[in-house]
Amino acid sequence: MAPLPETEVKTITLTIDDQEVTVPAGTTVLEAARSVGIDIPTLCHDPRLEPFGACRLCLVEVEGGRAPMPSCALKAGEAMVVKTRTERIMRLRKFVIELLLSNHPLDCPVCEAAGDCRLQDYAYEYGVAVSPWGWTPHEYPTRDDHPNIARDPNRCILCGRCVRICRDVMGIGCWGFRSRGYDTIIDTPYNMPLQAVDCVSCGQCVSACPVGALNMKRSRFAARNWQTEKTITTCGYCAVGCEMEVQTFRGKVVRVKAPFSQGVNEGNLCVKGRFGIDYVNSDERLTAPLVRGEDGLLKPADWETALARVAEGLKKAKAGGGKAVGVIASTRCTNEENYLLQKLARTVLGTANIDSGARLNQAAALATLRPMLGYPAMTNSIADLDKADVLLVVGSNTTEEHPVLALRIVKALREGKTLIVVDPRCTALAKRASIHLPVKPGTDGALLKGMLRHIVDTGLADKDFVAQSTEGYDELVSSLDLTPEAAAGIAGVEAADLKSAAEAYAQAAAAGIVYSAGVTQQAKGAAIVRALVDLALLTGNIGRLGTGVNSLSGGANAQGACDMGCLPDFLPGFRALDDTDGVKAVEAAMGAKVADKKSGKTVDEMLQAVAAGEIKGLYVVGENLSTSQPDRDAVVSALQGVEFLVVQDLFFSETARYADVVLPACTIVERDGTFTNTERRVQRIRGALEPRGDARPDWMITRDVANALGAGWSYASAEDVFAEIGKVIPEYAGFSYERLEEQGLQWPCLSSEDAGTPVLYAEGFPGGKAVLAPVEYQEPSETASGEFPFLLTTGIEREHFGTGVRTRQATGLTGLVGGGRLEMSAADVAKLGLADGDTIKVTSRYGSIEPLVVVGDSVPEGLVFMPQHYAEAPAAWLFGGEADAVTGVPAMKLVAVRIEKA
Amino acid sequence: MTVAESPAGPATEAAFDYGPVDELLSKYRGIKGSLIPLLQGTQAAYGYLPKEAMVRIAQGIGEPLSSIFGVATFYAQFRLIPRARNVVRICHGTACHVSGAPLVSLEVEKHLGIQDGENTEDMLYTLESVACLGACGMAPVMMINDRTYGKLTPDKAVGALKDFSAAEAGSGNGAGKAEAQEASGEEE
Repeated sequence: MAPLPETEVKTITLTIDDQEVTVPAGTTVLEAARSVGIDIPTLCHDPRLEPFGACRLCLVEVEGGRAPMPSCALKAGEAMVVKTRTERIMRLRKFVIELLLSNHPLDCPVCEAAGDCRLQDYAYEYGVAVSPWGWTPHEYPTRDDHPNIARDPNRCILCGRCVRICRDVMGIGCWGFRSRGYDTIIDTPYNMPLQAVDCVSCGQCVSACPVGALNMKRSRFAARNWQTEKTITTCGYCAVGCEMEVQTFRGKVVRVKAPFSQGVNEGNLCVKGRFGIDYVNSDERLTAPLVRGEDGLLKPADWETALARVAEGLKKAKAGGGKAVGVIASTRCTNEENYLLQKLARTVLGTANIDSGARLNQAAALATLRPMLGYPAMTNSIADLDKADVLLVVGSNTTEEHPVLALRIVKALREGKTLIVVDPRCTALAKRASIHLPVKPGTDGALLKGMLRHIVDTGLADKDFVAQSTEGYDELVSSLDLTPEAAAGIAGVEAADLKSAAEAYAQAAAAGIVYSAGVTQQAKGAAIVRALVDLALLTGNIGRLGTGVNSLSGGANAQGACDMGCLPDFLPGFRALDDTDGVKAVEAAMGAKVADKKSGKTVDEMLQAVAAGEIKGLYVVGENLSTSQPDRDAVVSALQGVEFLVVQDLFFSETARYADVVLPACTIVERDGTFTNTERRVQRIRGALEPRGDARPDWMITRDVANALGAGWSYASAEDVFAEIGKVIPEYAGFSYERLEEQGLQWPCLSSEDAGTPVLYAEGFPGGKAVLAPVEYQEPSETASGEFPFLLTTGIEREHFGTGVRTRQATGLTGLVGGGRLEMSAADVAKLGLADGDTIKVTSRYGSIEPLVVVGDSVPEGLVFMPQHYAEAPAAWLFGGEADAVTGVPAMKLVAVRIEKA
Repeated sequence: MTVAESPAGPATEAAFDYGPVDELLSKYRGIKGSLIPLLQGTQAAYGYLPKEAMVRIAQGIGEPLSSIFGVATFYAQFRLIPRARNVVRICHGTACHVSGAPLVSLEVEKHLGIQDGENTEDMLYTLESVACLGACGMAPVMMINDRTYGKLTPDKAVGALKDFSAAEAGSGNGAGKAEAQEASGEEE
């Protein structure tokens, strides 16, 4: 696939320190100089921020200019002649540093920033005399009230980077300048604690501080910057795939930073990325295999014993045929590991029962995006989102679920782009949206029907695009049986808002759609995705920058787990099992036969099959089923009842309790591999530490399990596996570890010359034409009633991930939010006679849990919200296991409940 | 789930009269660059900038509270706390500074038991340092409400304050009569 035709970029040529430099128009003199290795000192500059021009260190002389100019704010001009190190400039810079240092404590030996402090570097470089001015520095109290962020205002040089990154990049604004002149200080308003001013604990302010005024409290006195080993790797939590620099010292992770020049995050990280990695250092990690003895107790064992036991157990289970075993892969596993798991299932165990937690977000893409467009994946790129004139965000609480990706949306907002949010809750984005459609839970399908109908009725459809590139228009139109007014009535929104949202989307030069778990985890999720694809196709919003249907996947490697074929009905590369040629090609490249060519079972179906006695052996890798799956009793009895259960994980998860053998795995900083993020970008993860105790990388464990079953696999490294993946999956053919070394690449990448594909369908659809599908809408099966008067919806919060197996071992996160809580409107809390913080009993027709109640402003009366992460009150247990008929995704977004004081 | 706690707190929200600030917000709705007039109007209505009103303004114009707070603390004209009944202003202009205003301030602070910009607990006095009162010939200068005291020493300043409070106590409520008398500092 060829990349998009590049638009002509105007270039400018200038001379910097006698060196000719050519840069794109719009580049600043500072950036131009740095691009050729000329270093200009800066304190207030941050590549993530707009130029500020405050510190006056980056002054340069421009020939013909009257006075020195700040290079950070000066745009490069044609034929400009710039000098960066004249005697005058050097004198001015030295003077600025002297002024700063005269007002700065010289506690460098105990300052966190020492060795990583720009002021220290420049004072040394410019040979500054210490404190020639005799001023008395302020003596401000230090602040320590945030669990992860410590502050010493005395060291602050007022560069304003923390103020600007929080306000401009994060869109929050915790910090501000207070007072003026000599008394100026950077502070929260009214000196309030950070967490009282909407702080999301991302630590972006810490990352922006060029000195030691803002520190990462948890790594204080852990190791100097120069003492640590630094490894660039990819974050293992959500699907954004941020690149991070993991700093290790004496066998432990000390801190995490983000490189500015690499990765989709461009130097940004969220709270989990920056503060959520110390689970790696946890004492609770599994360090040896556990094997259940004859006394029924799990006891540490060596690998030989454990692997022999696994082989014996799985062999016995599959004695009656491969169908009697199941393998559950994970979104936290690498491509290499997931690939081997499906190969183990299909070619060694002989079963098609292979699935993963990726189903929760990805199945809808498989069932809809693939047949309608071609590929089951996000059509465009993360970097595209702020190129859209209108963004329609449906069922995605992006700032919490995909926090760093959300920064693109914040940027779009800042640039005045139109944001439309469809969400029952008033999320952070909804609060800032141009139009928020607070749709009644479960009625998104009706709302979208109304929008599609309005676009057709008002002639706003892109008729040329529809005629040339799509089929199925008539079927779509005849399915639009709801007028905008009727649709708005069902969805509980204003008809005028629905119409203006439809018009804004349809009339934009480029309009993008973003959706996530809020759509895919609904009982009728696939139908909603179809309607979203219809919206994009009907208005020609696809195949161009800033458009597309951007499906945000769940876990770090949710996309990769599906690409690798950890799906009961698709082989690697989404080859269907009934595609004879495709199956043959896969078999040839794998060097092994796919034993079962009929569709296997999903996670839920496997658990049900255990109860029915059809499945006797389960191999569960990195998934915590007893907390993540609905219908808790059925799950637990399946885990208890299955004859042989192998669980492979980092920690002794709730699921591991039921295992016959527990295999200790490695974290992302102890193994090599690749992840595929939500925008189809394949990126490296790299080992920075030795495995803990006897723990082993997942790919190695799976290889050894296969070999214990007689497979004879000879992979010596993750890279060996990756090379085989390139042969099996054409879209991955162009990748190699060598090519991925500097920067990840986006599939399809068909050859080693292919630069990857940032935007799908720029040159048309693989099937020739895209398919418009009729839109179905059915009333949600869950409605509030007398016995169950509240509707409960679930979601993700930014501090935790999945079922908290990792995040709840990370002290940088557990200090921020408590355990399982239910959010309720102030009016409902009052109506029930509850108080904020009470323990309550939440009961649905299927189950009951006891979380705390908190008053929140995101939910209207009658609707309550619970995060999904907490084992002590798993929201999943309230659900009955109803699954989307198309995707098999268990519905976990809407259930009617009763709430009382516990 | 961020449950943004209103810094004003729910208890005060019920008691606080948002009428004036809401009226100002609707008056300036959609007008760019209206923060300063908004703050001026709010201060005129409440006598100072109450925290509740600041939070309301931030929400109303969609700017972070930190930015509003930054503007309010940058300009000398804005007050974040209410003024006490009497305002004591000590001039720190160049002439007053060189003729001993810092020592005057120090002694007055000690006498009233408050720092610059604060109110006494009984809400009788607010102490403010100002840049120039325009009476450089009488430096160092202090004003109590509208009355000017010149050519001060630290002792004289405290003495003037003692006299003032005695007179105020004598006249019951308000210092109306005392204010009518002319400043006497010039005679010396």
